[in-house]
Amino acid sequence: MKRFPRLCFVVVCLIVSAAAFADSPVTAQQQASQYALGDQTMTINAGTFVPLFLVNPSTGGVVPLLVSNGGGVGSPAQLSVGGGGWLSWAAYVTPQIRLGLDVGTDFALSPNANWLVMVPFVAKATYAFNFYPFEVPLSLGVGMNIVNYVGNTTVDVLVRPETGMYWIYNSSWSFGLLLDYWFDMQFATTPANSRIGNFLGVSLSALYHF
Amino acid sequence: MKARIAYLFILFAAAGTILLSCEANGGSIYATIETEQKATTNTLPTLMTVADIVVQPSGTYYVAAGGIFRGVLDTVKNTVAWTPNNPTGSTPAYPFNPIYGGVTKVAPYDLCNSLAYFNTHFWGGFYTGSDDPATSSNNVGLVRFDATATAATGGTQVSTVSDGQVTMLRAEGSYLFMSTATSTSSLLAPTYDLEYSSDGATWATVPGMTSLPYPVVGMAYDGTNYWAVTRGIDVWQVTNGVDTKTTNYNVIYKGASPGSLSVLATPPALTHTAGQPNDGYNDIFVDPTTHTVFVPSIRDGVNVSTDAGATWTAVTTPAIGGTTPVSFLTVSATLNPGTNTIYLAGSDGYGYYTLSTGTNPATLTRQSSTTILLYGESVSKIIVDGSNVLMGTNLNGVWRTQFGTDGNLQSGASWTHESGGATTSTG
Repeated sequence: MKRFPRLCFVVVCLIVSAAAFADSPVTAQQQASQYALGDQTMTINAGTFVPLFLVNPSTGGVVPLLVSNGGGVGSPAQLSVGGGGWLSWAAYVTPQIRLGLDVGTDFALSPNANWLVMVPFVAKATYAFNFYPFEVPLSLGVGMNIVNYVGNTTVDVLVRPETGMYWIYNSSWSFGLLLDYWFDMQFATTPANSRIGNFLGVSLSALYHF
Repeated sequence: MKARIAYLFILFAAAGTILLSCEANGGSIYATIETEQKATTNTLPTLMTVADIVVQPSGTYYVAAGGIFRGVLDTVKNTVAWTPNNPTGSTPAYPFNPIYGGVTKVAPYDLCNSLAYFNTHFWGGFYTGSDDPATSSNNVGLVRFDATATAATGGTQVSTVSDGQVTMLRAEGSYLFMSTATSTSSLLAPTYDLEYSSDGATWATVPGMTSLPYPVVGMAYDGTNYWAVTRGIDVWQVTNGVDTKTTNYNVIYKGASPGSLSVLATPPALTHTAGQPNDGYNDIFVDPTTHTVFVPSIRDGVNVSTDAGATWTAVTTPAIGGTTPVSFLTVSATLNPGTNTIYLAGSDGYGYYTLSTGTNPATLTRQSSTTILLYGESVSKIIVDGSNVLMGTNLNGVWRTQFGTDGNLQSGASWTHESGGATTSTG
């Protein structure tokens, strides 16, 4: 966890550096989306991964993850607040809609300091509202999440809605904050062991148009 | 452009196909994490002071060292898996909180410094470092634990001695003996009682052993007589050039029953030399087969009697460096038959010694394993469990080894510094 502030610092530096080499700010006349079919974007994101709770679909039982499940006062949480980052590529199909792919990795720690590592691959559709100089994207991603924990690996079904806000710096660069909610459906061979993970991602994002 | 997009989708699909073919191992990662509890690490500290060790049943060890630890011997791997024995469902709740000034203290907890197995229960004696004489029931005192297959649990405070600081527990013969300390003022030294019980519920004080200025430090039973020994710092005074002992805090008691314990008229002599530490008794041990009595002492080695205490022989060892007498804290023996009976004596700062075998031991030989820390430790407790020997030390945890096939602790035998089953040192 000590590395996370350092990671954020690096990301911010990248964003600032990129902005310094970018074009000059756009004019106020460019309030409507200036992008069209064939335009593409690349996004780099890094932030905090917050494990919220697990749902047992067989019983409906809910287990919060940020507190100890029966371990008593002072016991560590079932999962720690973690971190992660991902890269996105997308292409505009209309001036407001873009389709693309996300790939990244997120991690958290268990009570025994074992790493829970997730590598999600998500196909994502985004509708972008433009309120110049801001853009509010609404996205829905569907894909798979490769989860590894203490030598065990599962491939889960992941549904990940996302929203946030970008500040449009110029025609090439936008910077913002994204919130993404994870519905991670882990189907076990024993149905009673199936769980739906509910997680929250909060990340800084730099979006580049090309 | 379209081709590039198509390639990316194809790549994505290919990667997904490969990854989806992974074995999911039952797919229950989240179900595992959901119930995961933090495992205790280093379950038996290697730098603790061991106050007591109990074997019950064979291969299962309980160690009192402030907290209580439980170890289970794996005879195949020759390791002991240790866990803190935190009794659930205890009354009061464990860990036991002392009361000081009318306020329940969260820490430090009452500390367990004695253990015994008696009448199908484990018994734990506790004391607190923050004793408040003005408040009753500030120390949990004696606790009876339910003995289960997995732990000593479900502790219940024995209210009879609710405010006593328990300094010793011994199950000997048909009785459970307990030495307690009480104080009426924080400015005054405590006084000590020796109590006994045949069932753990009803307690009686040994006549003549109440309000003693010194504690009972050892108990034994030879099949006929009960033995008790007290330890204190005797006061010597030079009057008209004659060095005279004005107090007698080191006393041996003997009796056919706990109620008839009386001062032994012929105790082993205690050496006193001006400018040197006083001698005193540290414990008592009786070989249940030969009825030989051993009294480890501070300056006179191990006193041995083969005639029920009528006469004594001081088995000594050369002073360390020619000047420092070796103090012995405890004695035990191989109660498994083997070819020989081996008597082991724990010293104060020089590891363990072996007494020569036979019914009339005559020599003390220091351990041959010189390369392990135990060689320079104070061995306060020795437990023999079949072929396993456990030694509890002051400040250096528990050490364990086994007898060789000839029944002897062989030179260079492997010792385990117990810390959860890992062997950390050999000698």
